[in-house]
Amino acid sequence: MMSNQYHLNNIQFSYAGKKILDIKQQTFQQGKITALVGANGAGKSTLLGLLSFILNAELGEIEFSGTKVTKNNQATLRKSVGLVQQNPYLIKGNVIKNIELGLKFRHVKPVTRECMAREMLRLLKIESLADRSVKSLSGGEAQKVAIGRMLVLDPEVILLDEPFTHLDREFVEEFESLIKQLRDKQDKTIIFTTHNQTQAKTLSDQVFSITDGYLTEA
Amino acid sequence: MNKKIISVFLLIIVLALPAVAKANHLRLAITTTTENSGLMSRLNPVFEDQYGVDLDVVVVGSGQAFRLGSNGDVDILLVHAPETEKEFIERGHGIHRTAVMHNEFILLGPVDDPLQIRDVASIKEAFIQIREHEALFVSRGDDSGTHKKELAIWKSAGIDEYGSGYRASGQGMGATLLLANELGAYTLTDRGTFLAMQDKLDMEVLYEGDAILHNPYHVIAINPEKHEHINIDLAEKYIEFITSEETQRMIAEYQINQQQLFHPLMAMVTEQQLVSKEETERGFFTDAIDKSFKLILDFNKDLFLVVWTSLRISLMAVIIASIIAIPLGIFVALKLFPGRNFLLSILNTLMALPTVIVGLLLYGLLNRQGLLGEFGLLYTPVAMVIGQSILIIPIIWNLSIAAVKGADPRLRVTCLALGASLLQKGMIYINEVRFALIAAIVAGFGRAIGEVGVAMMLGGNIEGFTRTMTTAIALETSKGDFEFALAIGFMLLLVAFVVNIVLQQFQELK
Repeated sequence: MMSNQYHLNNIQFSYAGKKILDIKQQTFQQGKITALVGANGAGKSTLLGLLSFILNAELGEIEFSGTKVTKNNQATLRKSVGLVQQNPYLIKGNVIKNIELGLKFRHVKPVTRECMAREMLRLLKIESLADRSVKSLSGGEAQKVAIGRMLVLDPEVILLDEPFTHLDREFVEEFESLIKQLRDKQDKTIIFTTHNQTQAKTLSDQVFSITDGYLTEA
Repeated sequence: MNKKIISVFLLIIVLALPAVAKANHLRLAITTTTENSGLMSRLNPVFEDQYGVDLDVVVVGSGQAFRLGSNGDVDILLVHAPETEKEFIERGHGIHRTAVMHNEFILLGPVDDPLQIRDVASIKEAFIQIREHEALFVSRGDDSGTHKKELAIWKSAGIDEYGSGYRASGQGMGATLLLANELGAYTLTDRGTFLAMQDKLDMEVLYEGDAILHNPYHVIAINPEKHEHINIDLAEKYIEFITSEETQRMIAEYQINQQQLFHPLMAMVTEQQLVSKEETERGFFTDAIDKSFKLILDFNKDLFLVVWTSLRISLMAVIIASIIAIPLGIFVALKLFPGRNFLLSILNTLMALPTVIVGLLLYGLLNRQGLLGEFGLLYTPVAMVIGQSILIIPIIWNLSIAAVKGADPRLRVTCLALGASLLQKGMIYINEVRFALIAAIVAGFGRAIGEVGVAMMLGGNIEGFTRTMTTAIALETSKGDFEFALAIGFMLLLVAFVVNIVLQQFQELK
């Protein structure tokens, strides 16, 4: 049974008087992998901002799992969505502290928190980084930590902004298979942006392309 | 050609100005007691009219008056410290010492008079009672004529340890009376200042009439042979004026609340002394620097007590202000609400809040008649901590807002995406921008330690209690103890320097 994760209806978003996004009708299906392709500045990151309820469109509405998103419920709905930014920001301190951050916000007990964080590090094969200061991490390592910080919260929807940019070739393959597993075994909805057309096609179930703020199915 | 003429003309004017000034101006140093009585503002305009000159009146404590005289900063003194006056004449600094008038010192105290000072037989006995019961006594402590008289009375009573009730205000007579009134303390004053301020005070004359309380005033012209720019002609005219029959009658008739303040002295006692040239003075300033360094290197107890009082009070203020201002700063930076921009512009204005305004408002609240008067906070370190906190809250608040706004913009998205509440977000921001926040705290501390308005108005400059570096500098300068003032100045600069080094370190870490 196919159901809609997101339905976008007449969405318009401008910044400093410039129209960034203009989407008439668009649906993102639940349990699918969607790739967003497009040039720099086409509006990919803005769309992820809207889908994670961090940005608000000035016109139009978004339905999430059949619920209309409003200012009042977006903070709650945000907890079902995980976002990893293009150049993720890690807070000062060590890696384990970063992985635990979202769990801490959800008032998970410290012991449970640390267990979950260490398991996540094992899954991503970065156990050795646990006590490293974030200052000493490479770009790829930092990206893995940010991915772990999001995955440990077990969100229904996973939004990834250019997740493969800094990753080493070896891990790209592992991460691709992890993404597929998350879809197949846990029925997660995954939306990611990329420049790489080939990767978009091989990894995703559907590819959308954004040009000058307009979204089209490729 | 024309330009040349004009510039020569201007040069002549500029060169002639001091001569003009000298011919028409008389610089007179008087003491705060004389000023407070209001007598001089009655007499001086008459002199100015009669002789067609301008009087420049400097109001200082006696100590500073003598210093101004020996430095040649004034032409004539009107003082009331006979011993010091004689010494001043003997050293050749002054001539024409002439008696003008006299009044009496009186002992004031609270109306209920817990020690029954009213019933004692002599001023000596009154002082002994005060000492024995360790009652509160406010001294001028500023080397003034009144202070010197008070010290002489203690000495005659055989007391050289003043006890725990003794407070030195370090201020003029008026301020000292207000302080004694606030504290419910005993104090020695001249009758003139008391009469002039009587309706502001809840105090009564408890002892008067002892011979030792006699308070004669003299004028002394500064010796023109020591300082050639002294306007001796006008100084002599002033002496002539103030001892004239007409002026003496005005002095006798001058009243406040139907009471005569001063008794004229018609008798002319002129003492002329030959100038002793033996005093070859070293450079005033370099000498003072030497002495001030010696005070610092000897770890002078009084000096470091002042430094410690300052640090203690300002640290306390900065802790309280930070606890209030940092959370407010983070809240305002992270939360959009109606009126936010208006609040930001108010905060910006308050950054430059004049310290005397804070002092004034809190004085109104904290004095005995004020809204919070019952707590008796005025002239205590607590009042200063409150004042300094209020002064620096806008600074720390504003800089905290700037600190949060200066954080990486991705941090906000990260917090939102991970589902942080406003409080959780605030905690994360405190950690992320902690160096900028410490810089904000240090900036607040720098402002607190260097301010003088609040410290003076709310602290009252009480020695060992509320006397801070800045108020001590003001006092020591007015007392004429330039060396001590300079030593504290160096310490204050040192503190400011350390604060800035720390600030710089944290700004670099950011």
